[in-house]
Amino acid sequence: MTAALLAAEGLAFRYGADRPLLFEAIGLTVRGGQVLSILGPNGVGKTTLLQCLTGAHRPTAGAVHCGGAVLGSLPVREVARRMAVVHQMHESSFAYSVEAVVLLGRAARIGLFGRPGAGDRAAAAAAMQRVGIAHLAQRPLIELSGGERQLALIARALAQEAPLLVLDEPTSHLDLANQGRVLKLLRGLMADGQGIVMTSHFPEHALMLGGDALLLGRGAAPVAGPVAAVVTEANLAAAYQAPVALLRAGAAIACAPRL
Amino acid sequence: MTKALPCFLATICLATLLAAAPAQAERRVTDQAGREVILPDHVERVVTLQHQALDVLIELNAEDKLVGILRDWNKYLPATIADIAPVLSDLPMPGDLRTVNAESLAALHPDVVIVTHYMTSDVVEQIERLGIPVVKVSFFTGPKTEQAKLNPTLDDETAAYTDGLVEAVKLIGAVVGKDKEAGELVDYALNARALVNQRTAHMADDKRTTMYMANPELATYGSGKYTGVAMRQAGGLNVARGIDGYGKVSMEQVLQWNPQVIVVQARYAPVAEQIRQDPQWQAIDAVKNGRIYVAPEYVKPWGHPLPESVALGELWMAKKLHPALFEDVDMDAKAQDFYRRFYRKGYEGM
Amino acid sequence: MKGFGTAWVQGRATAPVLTLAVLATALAAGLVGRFEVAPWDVFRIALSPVLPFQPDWDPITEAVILQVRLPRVLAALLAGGALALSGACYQGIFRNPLVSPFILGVSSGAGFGAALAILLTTSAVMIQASAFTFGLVAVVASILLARLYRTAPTLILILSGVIVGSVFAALLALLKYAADPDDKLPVIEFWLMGSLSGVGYDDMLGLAVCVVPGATLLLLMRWRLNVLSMGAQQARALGVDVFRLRLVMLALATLLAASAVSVCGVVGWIGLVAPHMARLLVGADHQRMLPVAFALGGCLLTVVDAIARSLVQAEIPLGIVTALVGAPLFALLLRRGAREWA
Repeated sequence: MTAALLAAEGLAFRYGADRPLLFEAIGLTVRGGQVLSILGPNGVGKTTLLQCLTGAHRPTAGAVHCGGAVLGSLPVREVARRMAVVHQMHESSFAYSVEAVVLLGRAARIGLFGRPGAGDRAAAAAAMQRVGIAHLAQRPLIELSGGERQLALIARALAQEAPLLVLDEPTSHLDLANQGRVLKLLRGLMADGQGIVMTSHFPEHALMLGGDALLLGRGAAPVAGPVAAVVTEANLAAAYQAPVALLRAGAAIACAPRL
Repeated sequence: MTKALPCFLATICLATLLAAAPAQAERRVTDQAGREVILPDHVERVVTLQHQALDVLIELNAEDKLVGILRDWNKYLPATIADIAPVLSDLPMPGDLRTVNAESLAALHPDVVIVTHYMTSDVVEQIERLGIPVVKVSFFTGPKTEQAKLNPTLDDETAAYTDGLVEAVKLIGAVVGKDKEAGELVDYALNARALVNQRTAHMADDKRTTMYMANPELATYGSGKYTGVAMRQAGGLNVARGIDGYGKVSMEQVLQWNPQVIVVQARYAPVAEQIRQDPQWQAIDAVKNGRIYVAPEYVKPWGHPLPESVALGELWMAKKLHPALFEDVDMDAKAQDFYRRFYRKGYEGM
Repeated sequence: MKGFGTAWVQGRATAPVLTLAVLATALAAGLVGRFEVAPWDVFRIALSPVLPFQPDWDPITEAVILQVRLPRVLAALLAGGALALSGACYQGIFRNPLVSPFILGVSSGAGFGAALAILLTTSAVMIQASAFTFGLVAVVASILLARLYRTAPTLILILSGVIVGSVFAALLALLKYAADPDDKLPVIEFWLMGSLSGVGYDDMLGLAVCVVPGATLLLLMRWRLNVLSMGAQQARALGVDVFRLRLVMLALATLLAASAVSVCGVVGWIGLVAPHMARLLVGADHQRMLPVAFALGGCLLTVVDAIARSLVQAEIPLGIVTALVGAPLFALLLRRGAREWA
């Protein structure tokens, strides 16, 4: 059993002293080569939970351990070497080239007065190659399609060379083809030993990736465990408070609201 | 750059020393900022960036030495000055009261530059770095700390501005080698002052006529300026003496003061008619009794005095305030006399 | 996507090209002025402290070149570069290419400081020191005001800058109201419009003392500006201590802007236009663009100053020339460079 890349127990969070708890008593573990999908309806706290796991928010209760150390005790630089985050939205006011953006992933390994060296450039090139966008290296990021942009951000995260990859709804703004590309990429990364945590709107994507899942629900207790056990029509209906159908056609899976 | 700098400085020092080595003899004067200035014995090329100094230079018959003047000279001095000294209209204008284009100035090859006392030190230093001596004039005397101030606090205004005027005229005279003319100008002015003083100095404050100097937009001169000195010399009292320096007042305040006489400077003559027509002013004594006077151009009762202010202006003001006391004084004749002597042209104003 | 003529500016060619551009601009500016000096003489006099030329020129010509023109050109290079660097830095931190280095109030503070000193003294050193100090005070006040809001996103910071800037502008208006329209008020107005007249070696040294270390540090950190410009959330996730880095860069950028403004008055547009031009030439990557912005800013201000002191007999305030040149130039750049920013 490899060491846990990320572990949390008893996590709870509320936005203010007068607000209700968004979630409580959440516990999870992620190891190399594993994926944890965090699922649930809008507003239930998926992204907030993710932010607690990456250290962007301090949890109201409980602790997060990253690579064995308490998250709050690690300097930001060290966290970035252990955990690479791909956020949902990316807006930039400047027309950086894709290569320049991917190079930013090396920030945790470059000194304050430093700049990317040959090694950094090689890592960036390898990341772009892995993700399949090497041919776009000199194009400005803002000219890319949504899917290509997402892949570029994933490449940036890979350039960080961190054992854990954290993605916030990586497929939400993508068309079907691009969804497939990203999922295939994630599966490949898992096979290479990368640990992955992701939030998603699409329970079927969690099923396609395998691994573990954590389903947060509106007015229902969180359900955790192997994804096949968690993502069932009954659990989904309880979490979403609406009837949901789970459809399979060979390897393809789809979730649809039952009208 | 930093390594070459000492070389720069050394070479400049050497060059300046060589330049300063007198081809002609030298003399020293102390200007009105207390600075000792080294001048060539004979000054033939003068640039003045101070309008009062310009007026004095003309009065000292030194306008032929002028090679450069300040930019807004025709705004600061009465229009007749262009007739009195036609050479002014063609002179280059390398700067004004507050700034200078160093290269334009250098191109004129002046022997000396006269500037105002509140010119900032960086401009003065730049001119000196070109090897051109700078003489500062202020037209008032007082402690060093007040010299640079906007509204100086002066213990004795009259003495400060009188001594200051005398000092300035003598200094300018010394700079251009017109000491004799300067002495004559000073004597003339002080004699006129004495004449007025004789008849008004003893007046108690409550017997004096209250006066208000009306500039446009309800601006006026308070204490610490020559205006109040002129008024006092003429046997009047500045209603605005509670204000420090130049400032704006409210209509209510003027109504409260209720001056007996209103004086308007020649350069702002339209203000007089405005006041006569304005319903807000009708309640004031001066307006009711028709005692609004536009000062002739030679009065110049401004922040700082000029020789003609003392020589003629105070006399004019005194005559207006106390016609009976000064019945024997023929203002026209006096004006003609001064203008002929010092401007070399008859007085053609009102 | 880069703009025109970038092939020869890219890669290793950048440093020598920049140096050449700066030297060429400095030389051209040195040849221009109201005092007539033959070009060969300008060249010889300028080099005379280090090369053994026979001095066959008269002392006033030498004084004009070495005491008036040379320090002015050097000061323009430094101040222009400082403004451009400061602008580029602010634009990166606020993630907005339309930000000028005066956005946090440094120009309003400096204007107030200068006016205060002008009213109380004639010492140029005091005026500069006061302008510098109050410029810094204004920015510190903006930052502290923004910190009152526990989440202090860049928007709050900008709003604080607007508030503090307005306060100082009002105080300045008060000072102008109190100034004698015949003597001190024009001095204040002239200072506010910007000018390099009267600049000597001591001013230039003072400027260099602030600008050289500040610019060096900023240029060394320029790659990290790329990271910062991704926004706080992403920069943090990439491993950068956002709060500390922003503070350091803001401090350095403000130091540069305040020292430039204290020497040359409020000169706008350089800090806005030069970074834009740099982006058009070499792209938005700060690693490449920041040195170009620095050089371009210096060249721009040098050219503008040469115009301001030579066009007519008197001195035209710098701020007027930069506005008349900068605004249309900026409009042109916006048309061409609309792709350089989203």
